[in-house]
Amino acid sequence: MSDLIFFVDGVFYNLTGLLFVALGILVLIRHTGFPDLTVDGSFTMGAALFAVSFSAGFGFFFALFLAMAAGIVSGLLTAFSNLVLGISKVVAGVLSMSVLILSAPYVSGGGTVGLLQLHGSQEFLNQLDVQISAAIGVDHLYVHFATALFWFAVGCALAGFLYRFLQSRLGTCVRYIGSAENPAFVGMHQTRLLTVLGLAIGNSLIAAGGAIEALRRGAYTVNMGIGTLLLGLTIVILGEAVMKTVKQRDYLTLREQFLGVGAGLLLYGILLQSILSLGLSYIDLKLATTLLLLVLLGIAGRFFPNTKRLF
Amino acid sequence: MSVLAAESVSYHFPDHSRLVVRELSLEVVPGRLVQLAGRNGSGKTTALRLLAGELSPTSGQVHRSAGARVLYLDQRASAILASELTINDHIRAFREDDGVVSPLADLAPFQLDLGRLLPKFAGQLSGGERQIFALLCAVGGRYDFLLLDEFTSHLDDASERAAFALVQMMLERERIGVVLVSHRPVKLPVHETLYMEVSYRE
Repeated sequence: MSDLIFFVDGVFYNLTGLLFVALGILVLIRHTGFPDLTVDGSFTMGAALFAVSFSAGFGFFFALFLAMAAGIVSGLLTAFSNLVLGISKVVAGVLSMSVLILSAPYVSGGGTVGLLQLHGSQEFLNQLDVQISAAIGVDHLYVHFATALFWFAVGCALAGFLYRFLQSRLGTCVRYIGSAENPAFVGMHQTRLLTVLGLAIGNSLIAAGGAIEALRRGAYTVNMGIGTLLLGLTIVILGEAVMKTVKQRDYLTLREQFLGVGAGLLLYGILLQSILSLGLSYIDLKLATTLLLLVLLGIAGRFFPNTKRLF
Repeated sequence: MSVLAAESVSYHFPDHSRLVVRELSLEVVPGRLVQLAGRNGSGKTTALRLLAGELSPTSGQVHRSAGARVLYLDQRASAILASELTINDHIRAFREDDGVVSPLADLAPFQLDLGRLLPKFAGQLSGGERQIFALLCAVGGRYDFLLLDEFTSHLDDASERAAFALVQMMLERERIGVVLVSHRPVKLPVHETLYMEVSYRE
């Protein structure tokens, strides 16, 4: 029983930051239609700024807001490179990612920033988890139910706002430019603005994921963002494959896309916790994730060709 | 009043010195339709692309009023629909009158049974259905000029009649200017026909 509790706790606790990442990837790749390689950099910078702010005594929400603001700036940097300087989308993303990852140490003061000293709402949640763990009464079993629930609630609230926005006329226009081969219903000027909006929103979510992940791991580390894009893509593609199999069609409504993110998260979380239970490291996990993405794209792409449309 | 005009416009493609369009002059007036006619290779499509701003003239000038909205639809007009959005999504986003007039009321007389297709994704529709819906989404989109390049070539008779009815609606109701290229008979009031000839000179 304790193994089951530990497993379930691990699944949900590990997924908290990934919810934000998956939503960000959904906006960037599926809705804006931009192959944004900035993602690893946005994640890193979001984590760095959150860690420095939180450890300096700022509250959880303010530090998260700062991280998301950094994500917006990341998106604007890529947009500037592509839309103003005329650099190709992929190269613009790579350049932005490099700038962000190389700049993060300046934000963090050089290296790792520890986040084990909690305060405010996070300290309260931690105490709550200690009490819950004691109430469960299994030796050395520490659960994170309260903390994970809180972070999921924040993520779901953001997901709700995002869903409402994407349903609006402006949000539909963002989704239009990401899907239309020749988006002639909007002018070039509007296409650019919509692209900027999509990049800003997507990267702010990625940065929020970095913030939560830093808090979850107890520290910001310099290379923690590497592999974020692959991770997020795996969750989104996994979820799409599930929903398209259930719906038996190659296209998903907005609601189905969001449900797919949920399904992909849950399945990936189970896989992740299973791998960690085998004693593998995070490096092995990223390798396993990459291989899973390869297999997913190959299999899902044969049945649902639209799934392979990434860039 | 918005203006779309070509003044002695000539054009040759970068990798070829033969003039595809030679000394074209025309003016598109709101509420009126200009037809470009001529054999294959006489530069009709190129002329439309010059008017749309996709190409820059080798010589001469294209005048377009500041802020004028020009929509260019060719045989692959369906490419302007987003495969992953439903037709309802498109209508909500791009028809600015969708809260006032039911979009299907425009097509009801043609009995095309298109209502059942509104909730479907654009990517699920046939080419002809996408062509009709691309035009339907343009209705009420507050465009100033519409450039149609063999737009009905893949449509059956009923769909072609519907397409022409929608164009007529835009001419009369929204006072847009239309430039049309079509090898098939055009069942619309054509105010001016320009015949373009294949140019063999450089």
